[in-house]
Amino acid sequence: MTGSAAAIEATFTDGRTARRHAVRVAVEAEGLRIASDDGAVSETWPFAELRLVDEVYAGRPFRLKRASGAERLTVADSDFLDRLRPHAGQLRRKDLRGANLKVRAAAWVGATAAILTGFWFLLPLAAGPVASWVPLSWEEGLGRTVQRQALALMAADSRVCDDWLGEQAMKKLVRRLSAAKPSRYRFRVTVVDNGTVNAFAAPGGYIVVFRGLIDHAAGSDGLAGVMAHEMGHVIERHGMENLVKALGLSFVMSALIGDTSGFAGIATDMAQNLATSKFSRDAEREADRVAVEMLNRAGISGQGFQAFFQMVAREDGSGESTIGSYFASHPATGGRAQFVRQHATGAGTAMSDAEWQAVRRMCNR
Amino acid sequence: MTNGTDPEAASAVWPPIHRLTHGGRSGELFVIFLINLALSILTLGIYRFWGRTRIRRYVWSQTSLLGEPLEYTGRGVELFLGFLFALVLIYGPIIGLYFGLGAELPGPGEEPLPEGVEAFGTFILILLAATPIFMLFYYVALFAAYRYRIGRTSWLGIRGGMEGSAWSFGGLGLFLGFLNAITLAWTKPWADSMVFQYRLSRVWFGNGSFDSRLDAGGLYGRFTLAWIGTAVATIGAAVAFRSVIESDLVRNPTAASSWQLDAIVVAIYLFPIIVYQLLICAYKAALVRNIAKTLTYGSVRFRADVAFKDVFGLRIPNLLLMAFTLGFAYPYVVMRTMRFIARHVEIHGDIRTAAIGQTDVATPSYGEGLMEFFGIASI
Repeated sequence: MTGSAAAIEATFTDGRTARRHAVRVAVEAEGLRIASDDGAVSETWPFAELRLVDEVYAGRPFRLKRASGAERLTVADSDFLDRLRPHAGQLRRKDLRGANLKVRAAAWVGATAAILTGFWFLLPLAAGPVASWVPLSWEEGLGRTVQRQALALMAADSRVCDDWLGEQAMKKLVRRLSAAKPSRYRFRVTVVDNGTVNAFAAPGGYIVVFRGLIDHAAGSDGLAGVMAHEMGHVIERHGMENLVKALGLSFVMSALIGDTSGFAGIATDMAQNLATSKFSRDAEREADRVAVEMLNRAGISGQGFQAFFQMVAREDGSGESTIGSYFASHPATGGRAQFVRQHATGAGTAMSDAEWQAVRRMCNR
Repeated sequence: MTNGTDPEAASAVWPPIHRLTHGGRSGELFVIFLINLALSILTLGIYRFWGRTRIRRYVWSQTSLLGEPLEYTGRGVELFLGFLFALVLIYGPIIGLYFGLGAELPGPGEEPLPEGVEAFGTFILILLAATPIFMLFYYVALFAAYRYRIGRTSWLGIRGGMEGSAWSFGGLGLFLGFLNAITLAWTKPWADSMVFQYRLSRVWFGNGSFDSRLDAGGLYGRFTLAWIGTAVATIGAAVAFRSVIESDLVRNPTAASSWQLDAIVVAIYLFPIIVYQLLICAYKAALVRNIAKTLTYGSVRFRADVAFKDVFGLRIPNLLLMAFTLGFAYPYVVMRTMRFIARHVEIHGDIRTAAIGQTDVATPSYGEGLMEFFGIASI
C-alpha cells in the first residue's frame, strides 16, 4: 500500500447499522482509501464517485458519500478536502469554505432588488401579449364566473331587472354596436336594480349595467356611449390584462411570503378587482376611442356620450357621491368629453322613444 | 460487543448524558434564505420547494449528536410533487362541486342568471359546511409533514421512519378539535397530550422505535391559570372598549384625537392576546418537560428541563422578530430555535449505535404538500 500522504482520521458508517468505525483515509492513485485498524472496513472509493453530502463551511467537518450507496464518511479536518479536490473536481460545487458571506449576501440582496424591479416594469408590458393568448372559451368562462360572483355579492340590495321589453331594447342596441365593430365576442348585458351610477365589463363580453346609470344617462345616446365604452374594454381585453397582472403579482407575493394558502383567495380578489374595474388611464382612453369608433360606424350621435361625461365631471366637482363610483379612479372627465366632441361624427339616435322608455322602466316592478 | 470506538462509552457519568450540538450560523443561513427568495420570485414561487430543501439540509447538517451530524435526504422535487398532489386534493372537490351544482350553466343563447346565482350561494354554503373536512385535512397534513421529515432524516447512515395512518390521525385531531370547541378549550391539555403521544409513539429510528407515555398530568394547573387569565383579560378589554365608545374621544372626535383613539383600540385589542401568549408559555414549558420525560427509545431516556422563562425567551422574541422584520429575521429565528433545542434537550443513556440496524418502515415518496395550504411557516 502506497499512501501518498499521511493518513487522516475519520468516521465511517456502512448504512446497515449505526455503528461508527474509526478509520484512516488517504488519497491514493485509484481513489480514496478508507481502512480501519481492526480490518472491519477496507475499501477504496473511486474519485469520480465521491460526493459531498452537504455544503461545507469553513472550520467544520465535511461528509462524503459515494454517488450511490448508504455509506457515509465524516472527516473532521476540512483541510483534507484540499487534497481531494485536485482529483475530484465535482467536490468544488458544495465547497463554500472560501466564500465571503458579506459579499454573497450583498450580491443576492442586489439580485433580489433587481428581479423585483424587473417584475415591476415587465409585468405591465407582458400582460397584453399574455392576455391575447387566452382562448375565447376560457375568457368567456371566466367572465361568466366573475359576473355571477359580482351579482351574488350584490344580491342583497340589487335584483336583476328582467323586464322583457327593456331587455329586447338593450339587446337590439348591443347588436347594433357590435355589428358596427365586429369582434370575436358575443356581448351579454345584465341590468341590476341598484341606484349607483356604474357599469362594468367582465372578460368575454359580460357587461353589467346599474339602474343608476340608466337614470343618469342623458338619453339613449348617452347609454349607448357608455355601453360602447364597456364593449371597448372587452374587445381590448383590459380585464384579462388586469387579471394577468394580478396573478403575476400574487405569485411574486406568495414567493416573498413563502405561503400558498393565498391561492384560494385569488379568485375572490379577481372578481372584486374586475367588478370595481380599476382600469388604467390608458385603458380608459383606448376604450373611449373604440366607443367613438363604434358610435360613428353605427351612426349614433356622440352628443349623449359627451353630455354624460360633462355631467359626471360636474357632479364629481360638487362632491356628489352617487356619481363618483364610475370614474373614481380617473377624474379627467373633462378631457374625455372633449375627445368625444372632436371625434364623434354620427347624427342618429341609439333607440326609438318607445325603446328608451322601456329601458328606463325595466327595473319597475 | 466491540464498541470501543465510541469515545462516549467511556463517560464518567452513568448513564451518560448527551446533548445535541448546533454549529450553524445565521449569516450562512441568511445567504441561503436570500438566494431562495430571489430564485422563488424569478420562478413565480416554484423554486421555493428546492429552497426549503436547501435550508433543511443546512439546518440538519449543522445539528450533531455524538459529534455526528444529522442528514436531510429529502429532495425539492418531492416537495413539489406533494404540493401538486395537494392542489388536486383541495381544489379537485371544490371545482367538482362548483360544476356539479350547476353554478356554471351553459352559456349559449340566454343566461339563466337567477338559478346560477342561487347555485353559487349554495356552493358557498356547502364550502362553509365543509369546514370539518378542511380541519380533517389540516391534521392529515400535519401528520404527513411530520412523517415526511422523519423519513428523510438520517443519522449515522440510519434513517427514521413513522408508522400509522395520517387519516386516523386526522380523525383523532378532528374529534379532539370538536371536543375543545364544545368544552371552551378545557380539554386542550388532554387533547394536546393525546396528539403528541400518538405521533411520538409511532416514530422509529432504524430498527428501534420510540415510545411515549405522555398524559395530561401536571398540565391542568398551568392551563387553568392561562384560561382564567385570558378570560379576565378579555372581559377587561370588553369593559374598556365599552367605556371608550362612551367617552369624549368618540363623541366629540377631533383630528388630533383620532390617532389616539386608534392607538387605544389597538391596545385594547392586543391586551388579551398578550396575556394569553404570556401565560401559555408556562403551559407550553410544562408540556415540553412532560413530552421529554415520558419519551423513551429502548433504554435511552430524554429530558428537557425548560422553565417558563426559557419558553418565554424563545417564543416572544421569535414572534416579535418575525413580525417587525417582515420575515427577514427567519434565519436568525431558526438558529435561535435550534440552539434552544441543543441547550435544553438531554439524552440520557448509552446510545449503542452498533446495535441499531437500518429501518424497514416505509417512507412516503412525495413531500408534505398539503401543509402548504394551511400557511404554516416552518423550516
